[in-house]
Amino acid sequence: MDLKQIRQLIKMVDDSKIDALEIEEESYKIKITKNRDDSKSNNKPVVMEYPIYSAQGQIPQQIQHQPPAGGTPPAETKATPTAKETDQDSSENLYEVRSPMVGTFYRAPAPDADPYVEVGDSIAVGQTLCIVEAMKLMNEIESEVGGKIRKVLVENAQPVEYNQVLFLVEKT
Amino acid sequence: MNIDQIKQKLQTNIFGDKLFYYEEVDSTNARTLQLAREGAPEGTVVLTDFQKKGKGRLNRTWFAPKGENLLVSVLLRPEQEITAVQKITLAMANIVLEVLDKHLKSESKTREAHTISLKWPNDVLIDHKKVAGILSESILKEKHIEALVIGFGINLNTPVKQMPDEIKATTISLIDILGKPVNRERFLCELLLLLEKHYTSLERSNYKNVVKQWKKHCPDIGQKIIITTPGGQETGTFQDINKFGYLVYQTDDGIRKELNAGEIRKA
Repeated sequence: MDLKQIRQLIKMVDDSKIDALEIEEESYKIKITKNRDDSKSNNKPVVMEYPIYSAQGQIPQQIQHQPPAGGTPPAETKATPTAKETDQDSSENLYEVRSPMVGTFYRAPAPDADPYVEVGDSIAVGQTLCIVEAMKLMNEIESEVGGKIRKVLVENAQPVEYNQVLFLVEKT
Repeated sequence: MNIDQIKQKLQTNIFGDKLFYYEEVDSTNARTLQLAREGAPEGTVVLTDFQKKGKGRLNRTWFAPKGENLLVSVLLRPEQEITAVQKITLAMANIVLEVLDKHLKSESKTREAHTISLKWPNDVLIDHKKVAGILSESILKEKHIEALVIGFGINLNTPVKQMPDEIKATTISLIDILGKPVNRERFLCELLLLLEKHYTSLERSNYKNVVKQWKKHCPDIGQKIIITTPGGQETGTFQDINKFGYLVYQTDDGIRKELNAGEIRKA
């Protein structure tokens, strides 16, 4: 991505009501966030760009929309929360465990062993959740957060893509 | 294993500086992972004369009678990203091949009569039979590598005739080639020295030349192969290794595919 494109993105974020934009491609990842501390006078976006080493040709573009932190909030957020908003609130507490690589996902340390975790299990930071195998390298994926396993999104012994969500963990 | 002899011969700076020897252990990889969790430094080496639960990929066992072969694991803590570092499994096969080659050159007058080659991703073969297996395991937090353990099983002094029947046809030992026992301590010191040298340059070069080097020793490229994955089995033609270390093949229906985890054998 060149400077001109970055400038265009900054302007786009600046002019919009969103306050964060994240794009991930094969060779780079870019994140633009507006300054939330002083929404009145200094609401300029901040840009961070850093290379990533992707293990696959195509990575889906990700754009995250977040509700604006400053300025006038949309009218309905003042009202009683709707069912949809309640969902959003609880989803903020959900942590996505993603695959760090392309590989094969294993829920257990061996074909005849019990899975590392099941839905409903309480887990601690650093607990092993699964294995992703790539080129005879068995990678034990440890949890970054403590909480409860809400969903297991991949079947045992299935191929997984880079950054694919493997588990949803409800943080405690 | 004579640990004093190893310490005397070892010319490395950090690899083997912390060396743990067990007469028996469940598996050197499992023990090294445990030491890694307890904070052991990079270069820690775990050595044994016998594994009670020696393992291969997907809980397969690794056959090695007591005190005859090399069973060793090394702890690494790479700084680079996992997607680059994962090619280390290919790099380790390159290194074992180099050690075997050096050893045969110095110990055998008939080195030229033997072929040392690689089978994807990291089996090392002499005369098309497996002489060494490498199993690597890592602990990842998000994309960060907390620890990477490389386990080597190298058939040195168990002749094929003493191997279990089911692997006799596909296995070989260095003693079968040399006709005399291999000094295990010396072999280990050679392995650790090359490992330290190459690992330092791999980390510095971001694992750039691994695939190129690996391909030089793979006779299967262009050949018909059978590919086995959890999804099933199919046949195809081995075309290439891509820059990530994946095996590229074309199915009999003409579809180009990339294999990242699985087994291959000659069709």
